[in-house]
Amino acid sequence: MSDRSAPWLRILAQAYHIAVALRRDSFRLLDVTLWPLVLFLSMALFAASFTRDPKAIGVVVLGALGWRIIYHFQMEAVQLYMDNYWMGMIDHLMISPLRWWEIILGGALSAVAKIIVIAVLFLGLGRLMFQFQPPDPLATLFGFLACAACGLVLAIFSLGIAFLKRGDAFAFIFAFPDVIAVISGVFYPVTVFPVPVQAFARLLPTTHAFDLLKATLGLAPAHPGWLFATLLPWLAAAILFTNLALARARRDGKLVKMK
Amino acid sequence: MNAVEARGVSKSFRGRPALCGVDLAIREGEIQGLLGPNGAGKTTLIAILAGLIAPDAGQVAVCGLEVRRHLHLVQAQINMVRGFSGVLEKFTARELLNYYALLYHAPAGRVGEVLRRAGLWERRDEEVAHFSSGWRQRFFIAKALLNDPRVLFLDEPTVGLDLDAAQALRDLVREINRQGCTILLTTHYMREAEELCGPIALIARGRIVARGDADTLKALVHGPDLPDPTLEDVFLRLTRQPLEQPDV
Repeated sequence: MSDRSAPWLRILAQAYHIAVALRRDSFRLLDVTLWPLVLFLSMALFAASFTRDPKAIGVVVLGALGWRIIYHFQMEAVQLYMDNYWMGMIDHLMISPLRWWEIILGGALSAVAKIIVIAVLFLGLGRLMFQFQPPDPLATLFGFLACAACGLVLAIFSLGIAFLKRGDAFAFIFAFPDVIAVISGVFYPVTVFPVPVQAFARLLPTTHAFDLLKATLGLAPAHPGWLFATLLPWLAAAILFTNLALARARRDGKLVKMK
Repeated sequence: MNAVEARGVSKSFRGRPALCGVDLAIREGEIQGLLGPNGAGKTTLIAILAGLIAPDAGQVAVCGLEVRRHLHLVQAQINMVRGFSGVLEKFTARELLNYYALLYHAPAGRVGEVLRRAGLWERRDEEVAHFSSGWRQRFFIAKALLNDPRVLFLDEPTVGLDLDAAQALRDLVREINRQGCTILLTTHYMREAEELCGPIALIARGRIVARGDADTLKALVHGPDLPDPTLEDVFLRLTRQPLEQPDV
């Protein structure tokens, strides 16, 4: 039996794992129902109470969806790893021929499924309640894909942190996408921040991903070049970090929770 | 051919030695026992053999492959059952086995086969988290059979089980071994070791202090004060020796 036989099966295994957990755990279902709705409705109704400008509603709809995309692409894989860790099954996972990037891609598969549900909710409600439709669907899709890529980079970093910090990692990891979204100007330009924060924000690919979404509404310039220029180094750093973290966890005996 | 070979394996955690130059060779098809007091290094050694912990020094080969260099190839051919293992909540036995079957690229129908072999078929749609310890260990045996492993690590698999459940598990282990699987078993139950294992290694303070079959080990402590030693006598005497004494 070769370990190379079917990486795609091991990727699918992660998506299956997440799907079963979602089906059985009503709390997890809230992740694709109540929580995104709370975010969407509170922000959209707040904006609508001040203005009927479709751009204001649009930035809420697209920004909130981009934020959820980053969150799910980051969180799915790490949640799976941490579930196994907390339940004392991490050694059974890590003794299998599973590679870390297969956990990430499996998480991405289930993120896609969840995002489809959330996108239908947000875009459907945006149209029904606020008569908003993305003006440039292709450019909007490109913006969402950029958010997904940013979420994947965050997922890789987060898994590396989970390898190193184990049970202590989750609070930190959980805060990641929200802090990043705020710094990256999810609903507003990063020029609202002091200059040093702006400079840092421009180094984050998420800032340029949100700009791509805002650009479809004419609220920011689109700079795909900046997106790639920031995304690729972060991706390389994330891969390097997680490989080193895994090697270190293996060396320090922190990879699994043996007695 | 050796299914497992460890040479000069050492490991320290925060400067505290856990294993000190351990040598261990397990021939294909054997059930090798590994006995030692708590903290002796048994679980660390298994974790190193399974690629879960990297040794500080020494070489480890499993199924003829160096673990460090061919980690995932090795992991595709091994599996593990541990005592007191946790289990994911909300998953039925079948669902969890389906998950692991995908990880190991197990052939279609394999999940049903291992469920039957482990006597779990009737309980396949029950949540594993609700199983008693004995049934849980059967589940882990089923999981460990999914990839038809060439080497199986059993780390105190019968700890906490009642007599019937422990006996049923030992029967399963024998059956698995009869089909060619090499097994490394750690246990605190001397009778279990004697019943199941061919060669037995005693480990204490990170060193293998004796090895051989049960009779050979008993002969090591046989004397006027112990005319008819048990494996427990061997264990108590040899694992309590001070470190300065040379390995037997």
